[in-house]
Amino acid sequence: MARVPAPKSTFPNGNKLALRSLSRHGTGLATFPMMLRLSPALLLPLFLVACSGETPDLVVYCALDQDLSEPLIQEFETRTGLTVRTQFDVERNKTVGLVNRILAEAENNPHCDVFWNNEIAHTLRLQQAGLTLPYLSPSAEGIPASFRDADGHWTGFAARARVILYRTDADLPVPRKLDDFLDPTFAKHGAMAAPLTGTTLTNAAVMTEQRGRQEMLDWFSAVEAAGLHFGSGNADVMRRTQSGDFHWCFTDTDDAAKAIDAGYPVAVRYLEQGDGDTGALLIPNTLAILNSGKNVDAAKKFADFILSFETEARLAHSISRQIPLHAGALIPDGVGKPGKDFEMMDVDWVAVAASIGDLAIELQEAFVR
Amino acid sequence: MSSPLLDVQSLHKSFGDQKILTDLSLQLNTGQRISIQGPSGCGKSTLLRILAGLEAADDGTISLTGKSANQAKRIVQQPWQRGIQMVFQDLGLWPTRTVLQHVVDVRKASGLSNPKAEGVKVLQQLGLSDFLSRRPGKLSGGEARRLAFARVMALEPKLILLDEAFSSLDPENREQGFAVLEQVLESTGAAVILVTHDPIEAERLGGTAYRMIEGKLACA
Amino acid sequence: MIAWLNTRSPRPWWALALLASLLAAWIPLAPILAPLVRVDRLAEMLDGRTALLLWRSIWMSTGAGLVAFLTGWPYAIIACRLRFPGAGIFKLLMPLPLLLPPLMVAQAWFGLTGMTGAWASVFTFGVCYAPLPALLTARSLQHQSASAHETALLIGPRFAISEMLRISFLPALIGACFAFLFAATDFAVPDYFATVGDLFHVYAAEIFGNSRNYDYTAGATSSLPLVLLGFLVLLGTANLQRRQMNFETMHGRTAAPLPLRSGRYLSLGICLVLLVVLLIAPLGRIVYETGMQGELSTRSWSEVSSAAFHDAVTRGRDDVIRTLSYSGLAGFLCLILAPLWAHLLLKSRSAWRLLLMIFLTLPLLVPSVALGFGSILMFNQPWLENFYNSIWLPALLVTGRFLPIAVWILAERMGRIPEAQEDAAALAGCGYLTRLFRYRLGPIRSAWWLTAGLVVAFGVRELDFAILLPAANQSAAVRYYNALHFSRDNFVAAYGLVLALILFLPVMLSAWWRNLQTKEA
Repeated sequence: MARVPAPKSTFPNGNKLALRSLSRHGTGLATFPMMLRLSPALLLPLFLVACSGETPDLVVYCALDQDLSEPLIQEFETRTGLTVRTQFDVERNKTVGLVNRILAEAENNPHCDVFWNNEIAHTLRLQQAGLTLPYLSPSAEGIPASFRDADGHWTGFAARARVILYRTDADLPVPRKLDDFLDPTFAKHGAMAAPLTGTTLTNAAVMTEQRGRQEMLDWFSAVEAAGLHFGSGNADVMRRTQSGDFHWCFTDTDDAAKAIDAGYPVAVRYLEQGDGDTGALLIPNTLAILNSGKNVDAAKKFADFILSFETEARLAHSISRQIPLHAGALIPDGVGKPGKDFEMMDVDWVAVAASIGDLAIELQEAFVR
Repeated sequence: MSSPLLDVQSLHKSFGDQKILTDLSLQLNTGQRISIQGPSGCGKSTLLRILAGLEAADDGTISLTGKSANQAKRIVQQPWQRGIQMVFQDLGLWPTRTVLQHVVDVRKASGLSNPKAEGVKVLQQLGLSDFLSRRPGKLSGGEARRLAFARVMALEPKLILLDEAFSSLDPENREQGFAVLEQVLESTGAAVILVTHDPIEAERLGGTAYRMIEGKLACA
Repeated sequence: MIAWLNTRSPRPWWALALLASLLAAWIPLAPILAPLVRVDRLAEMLDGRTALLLWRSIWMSTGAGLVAFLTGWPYAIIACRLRFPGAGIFKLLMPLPLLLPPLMVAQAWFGLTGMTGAWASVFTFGVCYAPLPALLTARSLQHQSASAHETALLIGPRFAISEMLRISFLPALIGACFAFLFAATDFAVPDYFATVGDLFHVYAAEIFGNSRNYDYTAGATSSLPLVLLGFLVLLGTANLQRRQMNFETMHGRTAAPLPLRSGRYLSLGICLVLLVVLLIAPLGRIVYETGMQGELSTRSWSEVSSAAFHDAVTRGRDDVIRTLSYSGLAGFLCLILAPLWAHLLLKSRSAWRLLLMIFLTLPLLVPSVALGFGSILMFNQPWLENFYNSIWLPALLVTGRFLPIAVWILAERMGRIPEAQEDAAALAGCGYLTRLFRYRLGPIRSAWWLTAGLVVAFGVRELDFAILLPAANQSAAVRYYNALHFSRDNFVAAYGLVLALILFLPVMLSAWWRNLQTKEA
């Protein structure tokens, strides 16, 4: 029989009496020690069941808003019978989180088959890291060459344009081109997102490619001095414009569409950013198949589905009003039509992607204060 | 003829169906000593709490120097208006206040004169002047008991209620406790009611001894 | 096997608790430990700009602690120890503001008042975390000796109230310190107010920004000042807690609420105002926002609101179930591990106890995104693929990160149970588990369940590492956060209310049940 260790103190009236009084407190837990002993028996089956989940046919990491992308992915599952595990990101991470995750997982055991990005710069980053698989999808025919990689490492589709959203119930000047922001007459009534993440950061990288790094930084200092407000994100400056805090804001077409659909008195102007102050900046969704993926055939089927006319049409008709890039695409009312509502500017996306990493750190130092 | 200090008439108290006090009557004059014995749970502590105004009776009257304190279920005089102080079995000391604060703060709050000077005097009388800045947690059992009585002494009450204040003490410590009590009673001239289950304590206190039987008091 | 489970020695079980923490917290921490202590790299990162951000975080968090203290402390004293109409309801509702997502409260107060900027964050954190000082105050008053209270009452009601204030001051201060800690490490609320108002940043934004760069270890390095600050505050609160324990003891009789004559309607008024600020106003605003829309819209409020709730339930249901699965599992694991840890801390000498506290607490203080990336690097192995994709991984991380909260609460409560109870059980031949769970934990089992509930609540709110784990990626918090920042305000409001209701119900039911049991006793 095991030796009982000597107690530090003794209970005055004997142990049995003590236990009788103590058991009043313990009645509710009388069975817990037994439950604890049984817990391996309870937890082990749960562990085995949880760890024996079905392996999906395809793994997609998707930076596009879940509410927009999820129905399309479910449609793909229905049509093909394939199961897709989708991983999303939070808006504030602006795809960097997913990309960092892909890079971290690639060290030991990659999972992602397809990366669906809602912008382009970080997709190119994956290509530059040698992680993408070239695939020329037949669905991509008709998409302009500037929006796809020649070898098929990535393909752009369903774009957002960088636009001015402005109130129609006030007679105040609204910028037409980027350098209008330098004029206090415009700047003091307007706002844009700080160029720390997402399409604003990408836009800053495009400006860097056009003007040079120092000029770009000087431009931001100058517009801030002119009275331009900086907000946390595109949706946020849109919200403040729709509530009347600002007369106009520099945002994306999907955010502008929300304000219009919600019934606010606002309209859109496509900001001229290209050479000679012509051409609106379009930032496409991009799709890339990863060469470390385990389900290449399924990935290709997915790419064919997402890059199709039909998907672009659905995204054009969705609340985000994404602009189709396929030539000849039927564009619904309320969505900007390239060539009619605006001209598209040319962008060297490879150069933009190459500079964006260092630019993010530099702009963080300028704007996080 | 002056009114008695305490006049209790036909006090009744029940907790649910259980009758605790049944037609209990009691009179006490200034400086008088009374002990009430009885087993645990017979209602002694309840009686003290009703006398102090901490609980209401179901029926009966309590008068203090001729003024109504309790009328049936109504508490007419609030506990702080009665000139009564109480020492509980666990002494009821205030853990965040120092020894000095225990006597000075209560005098200030009660509007008594010279709180600091009188407070220090009381502590000196009871041998606590070396511990002025200590908190109750750092006092020995005897010192803590003296502090509880010092607090009572500082307030100059007319009536002191002791709710098993010496229970679970060995004979030596009990004797020391009673010595302190004698000092307090001599200083304040207060009357005292001691409830206890120990006949030795009742004998030590002196005065009139009662037993609580079926919710009533009977001479012991 | 049975004999081993019946062992009287605590050591095998303590070893199990340590092993579980190693697995749940320290293995994911391993990749960032080296970057965390790179003081030279931190020195390069720290300059005037980052020092200003750090200072801003410190003063904002101090303000939040002060607001929490000034609202929670009086609320608890009035609701728990003064007798006035409706006191029971105020007491029942006291913990609920802690369960509201701070982001939801931020959205509500912006909607109600238009407040923005750093002070709006201070206010929001203060009202969200007011239950921390309130609950600790209520507990300390529960432990006030009835005889001490009644002796004070014999002096006068003001004296009795001053005694309540004195005895509850330190616990309220401890609660305010915890509010400080939560506010200092939160990025989402200041970020929200920066989006709806003028841009400003806190130090957590710098950490977040560094974590978002290609080299996420930069985020770990830059988090060192907040980690050290967190440790200092926790050491401070541990000291305060030790002092407070000298002032409290368990007594058979609890002090009764102080009956008021003229003050009862004033007490009711004060409690009502505080409750409106802490709970009713934000909830009311969020309900309103479920149907809110622009001036050109043609739909009615109720149409929009119904659609929003329908959306919230249909689109968000699976995410809620998923989130509750792994959070619930984490809560269950904490039920087992927290008492073992608490007991281990109580039995350890002070030097060991300090080391163990650091071991236990560090996972709570580092940025959770670092934990997420660490778990990818450590657990994303081919031979662990099924585990990596299962709910066990997020459950383990939630356990590892929030276990310290459960352990502190239990250790403090268990410390008040006389050792004689456990010793008597040992002498009678009881095994360790019986001694611990029946005799040491038995009198405080409501606290035990509460700690599991808190771990579940924090697990539901967790965002940064959840997004990185396969089985937690589509969580309730992720859907909520994305909807908020994509301006789907009606859906956000409805979904937030659904989440709040799911968290509220168990707490209210258990508080109501406890009240009933107390009355019956």
